[in-house]
Amino acid sequence: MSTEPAELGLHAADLWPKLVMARRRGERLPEPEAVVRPGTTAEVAAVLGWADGRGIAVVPFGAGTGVCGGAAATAGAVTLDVSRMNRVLALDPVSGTVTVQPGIIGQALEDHLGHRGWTLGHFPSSIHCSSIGGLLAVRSAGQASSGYGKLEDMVVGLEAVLADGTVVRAKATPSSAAGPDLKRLFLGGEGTTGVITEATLRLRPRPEAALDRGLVFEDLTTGLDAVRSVLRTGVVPTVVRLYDGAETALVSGRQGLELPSGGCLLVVSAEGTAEVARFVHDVAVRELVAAGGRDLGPEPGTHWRAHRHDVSYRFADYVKPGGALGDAVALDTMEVAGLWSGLDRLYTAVRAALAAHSDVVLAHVSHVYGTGASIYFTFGAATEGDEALALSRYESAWADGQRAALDAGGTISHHHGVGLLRAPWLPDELGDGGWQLLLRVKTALDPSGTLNPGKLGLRGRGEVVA
Amino acid sequence: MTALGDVRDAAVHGSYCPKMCTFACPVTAATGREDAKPWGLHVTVAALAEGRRPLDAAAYRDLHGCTGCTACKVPCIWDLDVPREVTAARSAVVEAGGAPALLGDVAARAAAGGTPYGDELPELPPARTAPSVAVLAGCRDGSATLAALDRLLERAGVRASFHAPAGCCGALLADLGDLATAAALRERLDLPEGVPVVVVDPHCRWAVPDATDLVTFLAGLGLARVEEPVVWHDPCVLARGAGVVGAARRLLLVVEPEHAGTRTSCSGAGLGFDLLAPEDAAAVAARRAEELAAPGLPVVTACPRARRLLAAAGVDVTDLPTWMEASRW
Repeated sequence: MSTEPAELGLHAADLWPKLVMARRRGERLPEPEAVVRPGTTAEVAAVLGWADGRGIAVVPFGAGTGVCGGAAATAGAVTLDVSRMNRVLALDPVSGTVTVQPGIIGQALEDHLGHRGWTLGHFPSSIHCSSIGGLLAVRSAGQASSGYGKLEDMVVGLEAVLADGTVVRAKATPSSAAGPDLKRLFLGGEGTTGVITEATLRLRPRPEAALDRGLVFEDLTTGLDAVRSVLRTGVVPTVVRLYDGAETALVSGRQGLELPSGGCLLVVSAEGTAEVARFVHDVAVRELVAAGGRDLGPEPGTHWRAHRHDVSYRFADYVKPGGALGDAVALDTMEVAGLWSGLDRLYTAVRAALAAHSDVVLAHVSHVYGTGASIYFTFGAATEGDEALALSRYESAWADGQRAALDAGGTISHHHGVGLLRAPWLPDELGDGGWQLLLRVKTALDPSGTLNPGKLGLRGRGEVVA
Repeated sequence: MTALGDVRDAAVHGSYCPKMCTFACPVTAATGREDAKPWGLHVTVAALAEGRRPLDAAAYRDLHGCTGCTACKVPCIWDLDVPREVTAARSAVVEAGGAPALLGDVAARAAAGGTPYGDELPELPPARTAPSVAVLAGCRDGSATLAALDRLLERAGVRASFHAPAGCCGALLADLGDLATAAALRERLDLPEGVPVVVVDPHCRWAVPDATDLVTFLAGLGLARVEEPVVWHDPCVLARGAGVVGAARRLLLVVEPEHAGTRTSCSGAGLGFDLLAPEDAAAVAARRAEELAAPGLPVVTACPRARRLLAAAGVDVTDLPTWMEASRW
């Protein structure tokens, strides 16, 4: 346990851009009273039980890289940092599973698996810094989720500790019909329902081939139709990234591609054995070309692969004082999702809402399903050093963007979670019945309300954060 | 501008980075400490450089968590140099009088002609006249290592004279931020003029920048490869710091462990980490020991600091000269 001021300060916030902006303004953020760093599940249970008995709030903390304030400190609370619990506990090569502790960093796990011929297939742009526990807690999706699925889909077993210190284990099974899937109480719970202390995850053999391709479409709608036509064949590419016109201009500019104005770039990739990757690649490209895509060859895809994490590394250059876009820049991302039948409308509505408060709005579709897709917006406002204006535009963009997503029938979050940021819109997202059910779940699992209070808009005993 | 001023912009930049290189940091992996993440160190250095924190002992303590391995530089598209920031900040704290007592003890031991660690200086092989190469032993080298190297070089037809600093070449003191003592120790080095210098401990190149590291030197002798398979622990300071990766593989039949070459994983011995935070350094070494032991083969390295920590972590680890000399003759 630490009460060192520097340690407390480093645990004050996660990477929610609103908190980054506050730090840039020189504001002192609420800090925990202490940081506890357990090394075992038993220690987690002891800490939670101790805190619960005294009514002391506990904020679970993985790597502190969430972008919605889910790990932001609460004044007077203890922050439970599980970073020490970062070991690979078991790799079952027969079943194709790995059992890990929550603090392991995604890339560290991927390195471990890659050395042994496996991959998790979960490649969020934050893979270099985010922990598996945190990624599970927010129901993360990686860049290759079209092929490998979201992280929550890879969970075959889970261990969590409840607020009172009770340890719950959902044993590893390929699937089960033995009542409700209790794992789902904690996936997306963001530490409000329990603290994930162990997970058994499905693996895939490390692909021997990855075939990348780029195509351009005359507009987003044509591109979306083309992607859907590929999926209808039964072939599912590992990576599907369709950029809107604005983001295409940025991406193609970096690559030196000459594309028609307003055109939309699609990057598609197929991974697996050489034979399977070739088959999926060839079917996908054939369908995409038939649907109006102009084949650009492999280069846009291989370029994307080589620079897939650069955008996260660039973040500091945009938001730091005196950064590339000037002082007091507001910059964030908003990932929403909807069914194919409403995806155009969702894109148009959210884009317009964000654009009303932003100087730049970019978007790409990067997680596709048979039934729909996620749209990932990036929006930014330059304010020439006016921090108050930056905050105002930022909050307005979020308020209008989330409302637009709801009104268009989409979901307010696809894979970043809720935290503090999206809490105001979660009741509308779930509907009255769903929201009341969530309150009951929270009350049943954490009656004292000590677990991550305020996140998801929840306290204990059915209380709602104002 | 001061050294701390020189790194201010980089530290501020890093403090706004979303912790991207976390996965690469061996100290973070072994300890889980937020203040030891490269991001945490950027935050600390930025606060010191911008005058938001006093240059005191507490600040120095928050600068412990770096081994100088530069693993964080590999994925960084900005090439941020965390060890450089850390040593600049440490030196600013030392100049401001905030150095911990430990640093005074280390400097005093070295100034008195002992090793900074307080243990025995290695015994040098017999002196030779008219050497073709001067070998500079480091404070962490062992007498047996130097004796094996002497035999190896003699049989390879190299006439070497061995030299040792009077306690320390200064590299360790520089890592700890005591630049004045480090410079004084470097001045005390007594190496023959006009003879190429080879350093046994690659960290000693701080004091003799023109020197050749031992692995590169041995690989340049054209010796036949030792065909008994081993696991080679790439020293960070060689693989990442100097790009020396292929030389060891020309000398040894290497079975690659998890994390090799420029992605090598640290033993925990650099930047004075083993002095400042011995328990955490042992934890870093234990992690690396698991990777090195996995293939079930003897482990060889050319970093005497790493060898000591890895041996303490239970690794069957041998220094390069001893392995080559024993395998060859």
